[in-house]
This record gives sequence, C-alpha cells and structure tokens, in this order.
Amino acid sequence: MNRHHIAMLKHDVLLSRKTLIGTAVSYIVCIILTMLVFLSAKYGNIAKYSEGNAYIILSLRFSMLMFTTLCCSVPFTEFSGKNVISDMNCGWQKYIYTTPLTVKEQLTYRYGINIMGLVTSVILVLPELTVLRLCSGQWSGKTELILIAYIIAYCYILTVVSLPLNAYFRSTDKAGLISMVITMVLLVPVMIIFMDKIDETDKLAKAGGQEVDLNMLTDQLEGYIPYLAAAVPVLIIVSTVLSYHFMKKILEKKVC
Amino acid sequence: MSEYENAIEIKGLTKRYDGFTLDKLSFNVPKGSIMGFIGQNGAGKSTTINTILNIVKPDEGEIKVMGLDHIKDENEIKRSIAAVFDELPFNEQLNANNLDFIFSDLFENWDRQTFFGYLDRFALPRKKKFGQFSKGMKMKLQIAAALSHGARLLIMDEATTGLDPVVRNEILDIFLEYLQDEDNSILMSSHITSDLEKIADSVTFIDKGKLLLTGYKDDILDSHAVLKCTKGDFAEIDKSDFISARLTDFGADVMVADRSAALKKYSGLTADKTTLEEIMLFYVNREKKEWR
Repeated sequence: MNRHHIAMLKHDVLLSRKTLIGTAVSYIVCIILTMLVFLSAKYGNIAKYSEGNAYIILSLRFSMLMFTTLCCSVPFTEFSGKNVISDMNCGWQKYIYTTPLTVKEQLTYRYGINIMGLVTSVILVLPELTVLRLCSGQWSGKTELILIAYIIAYCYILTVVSLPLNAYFRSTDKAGLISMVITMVLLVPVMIIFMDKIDETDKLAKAGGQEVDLNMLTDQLEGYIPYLAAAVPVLIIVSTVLSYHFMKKILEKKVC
Repeated sequence: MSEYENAIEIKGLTKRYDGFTLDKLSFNVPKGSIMGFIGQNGAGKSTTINTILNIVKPDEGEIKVMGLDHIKDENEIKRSIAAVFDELPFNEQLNANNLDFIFSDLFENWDRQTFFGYLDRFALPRKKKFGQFSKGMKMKLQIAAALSHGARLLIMDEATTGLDPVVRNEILDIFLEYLQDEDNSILMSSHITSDLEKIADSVTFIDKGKLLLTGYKDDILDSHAVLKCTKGDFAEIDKSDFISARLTDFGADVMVADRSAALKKYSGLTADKTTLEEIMLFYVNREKKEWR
C-alpha cells in the first residue's frame, strides 16, 4: 500500500464514517442480542415456549447467525464501491485524473479494499460463532458454515459486479438492477440444486411422517457440498477478474 | 524535469466528435506567463483543456507540457500541475481539514502551512462542509488547494465564471502573486474577457473548434482597431481589408487586424482602440462579414 492508496482510503473512510460507525454499533448489538436470545432460550421465556421443540432453537440460531453475517458483510464489501457513484457525480473522479494517482493505483486500491472487506467479514463472523458455541453448547455445522460462506460471497460478488456498473451508469438504479441480475444468473445453478433438494427433503419428510428440518436438507446436499464449496472461490475469482477488466477499461477511457 | 521554453506546446491538435471537431489547434503557453484562452460557449476550450490533462485522447496532434510528452510522461507532469474547474470537484460532505488530511498523501509536495495560509487569507472555515460554501468560497478553496502542492502550471477551466467582481479581483491578484516565480505559468480559459485583459500576457481565441488568433495580448490589442464609418465610407472599404463589420443605423463599426495599414489606406477614418471582447465578437461573426 503506497501513499496514494492511503489517500484514497482516507477519502473513503471520511465519506463512510457514519456507515462504519453504524456497522460497528449494529455488530455489537447483534452479538449482545445473540447472547440475550440464548440466555432466554436457556433460562427465560424462549425456554418455556421452545420446550421439546429443537426447531425453534435451530431457527433462532440460524437467524442470529445470518443477520450478523449480513451486518458484517454488506458494509465492508460495499465500503469503497458505493463511493464510486458519488465520486463520478461530484467531479472527484475527473479531479483524480489530473493528479499523480494512476489508473493502476485506483484499481489496486478498489479491488484490494474489496478483498480486505471480504476477509474482514469472515473475521467478524468468528466472534458470533464463538458466542453461539458458548451460549448453545454447539459449534456451527456444515450447513451453517456453507450458508455463511455464501452470504459473504454473495455480498462480495454483488459488490465487484456493481463496481464497473456504478462507474459506467453513475446511478444505483440501472447499475443495481443489472448487478442483481448478473449475480442471480451466476447463482442460478446453486439455487436450482437447492430448490430441488428442498423438494426432495419435503417428500422424504412427508413419507416418514416427519417435519422438514435442516439436518435432513444437509444430508440431501451431502454429495454436492464439495462442489458448492469449490464454487465459492471460483465465483469470487471469476467475478473479480471480469470486474477488474471492465473497470480498467472504464478508468482508462477516463469516463468522468 | 528538463529546461523548457513553453509550459504548454500544442501542435495540430484535433479531436472529432459528432457535430463538433477541434481542428488542428496549435499554440504555445510561454513559461512564466499567463495565457487567456478565449472562446464562446461550445468553442472547444474545455475539450482542449481536457486533452492537455489527458482526460480526453486526441485523434491527432502533439501536446507537450513543460517539455514532456503529455501521454508518455503523464505521471511526471501531473506531479507539477494543478487543475481548477468551474465546479468544485470535492464531495460536499468533506471540509477543509479533511481535504488537507487526504491531500497530504495524494501529493508528494503538499504544504499544509501554505494551504491553511490561503484558507486564512480567503477567510475560509476549516470545519464547515463544502456543501455549505458559496460559489466564491468553493472557487477560492480550489485555488488554495491548487497552490499548495508546488504546481508549476495552473490550468483553469472557466474558473471565474459566475463569481462576483470582488472575488474575481481577489483571485486575479493571487494569480499575479503566483507568477512572481518565473517558473510558474497559467493557462486560463474564460469568456470573461475583462479578467484576461487585466492579467493575461498572451491570448488565444478559438471559435467552433478552430484557432482564430494567438499571440501576446498587447500586440493583439495594438494591432486591431475598430474603424468608425459612415455608410458612404463603409462602401469604400475593401471586404478583404476587414474581419467583419457591425452595421449601425448611421454606418458601420469595422474591425481591422492591422490598424496602421488600415489607417494608411483609409486615412479619413478614425480608428478606435478595441478590447478583447470586441475582437472576439467581430471574429466570431467573420463569416457573416456584415452583421447587426
């Protein structure tokens, strides 16, 4: 990281101060809420209502984990991305072209920050997993870990896909819509497998006279887990490379 | 950076767009001087400035900035230039302290003392967000930032447009101070010719993407004149001897490019001194030849 990268980081941090503070507060609230929910599940009202029903505890666990994961992922993976639009619109991007900051430095900063955001999201989920372990006595299973990985990956992929779109369209409307569509298309095979397995799980559960639970779904997905796990880094790498390529073209064309 | 004679050298600059072409523009900005770059709205001033800054790629032509090629040596050039635009290019959520914080890493030679010195001189608040600044304050802020990192060349694109005369005067005084250092130069595009008349050493006129005139301001003002003619006198003047003529109810005001030659040939006529604004007006109407 050189001085120019630090300048860009300073610029983005100053513009995202409120978001970062809000994220920190939300994160702490999520951790505290997780502890409170599980204390209640052990000793409080939730314990009374969920007696004999493990599904409620599992759902609560899932919800808190997903909520915290989203809270960690969205701000950090979007950190520099959302400033691109305001940079383009206020003239900052044009000003940058008149300074010693090169296109290469801009690109390495933007994508480096996104990767750091991805890593930060993963790191921030760990305390939540630890709190869940301490409160519920169980470490997260394969299903939870895969879902966490997918949420973080989805947020990251959405961010890198929208970077060049934001720079090109300079508005969240078109850029947001197109990036959602592209991300959905990338994830369609995963979704098809998931929906297919949910149907199979449902049929199995009905045949056995049982309620559908996540453990049954996990068993159905067992064979696909290695492929799904491999798909995450592949999708991250492919989306990053393609996004970098298009963003480079836009910045070299000096669109501003 | 090697020794150079001209801060900017432009040869045969051409840029084509749909409906507009910057056509083989050539002019120089001598080192240590201020050049006024004059033209109507849409004449191609901003396009020219954007090509000098390498924001727009020219289709043809050669540009040298401080003796260096503007594409090959772009990084080196950009360490020594500062651009000032008509709109503030900084996010309105930032304040002057934030700008100093960012620029101390963006520019190698960022001088915090100089920057805050200009802020104090311009009475600009350090903690107020830019969104709450007036237009004049925003321009002064841009100029303060431009003058605080050791730039040898200031490129200003319509920087004084929309400012009141008091603020414009203040800014022009700052430019004159900046030029006390003979290594510093300014290229200033504007259609407010009165500002350029005050401080420019040389001027370049462009119209519809074409170069009309370039040269030292005093030479241009001395060589051009407006002949006041009656209808009868005007009828005697050869069309090739004047740029264009503004017809009035009593006769015509005729712009000539060579005052002494015109007075020699048409000795009975009075030649009035002219201004850059008049020169621009008459040149812009040169194709009509006679206009009202």
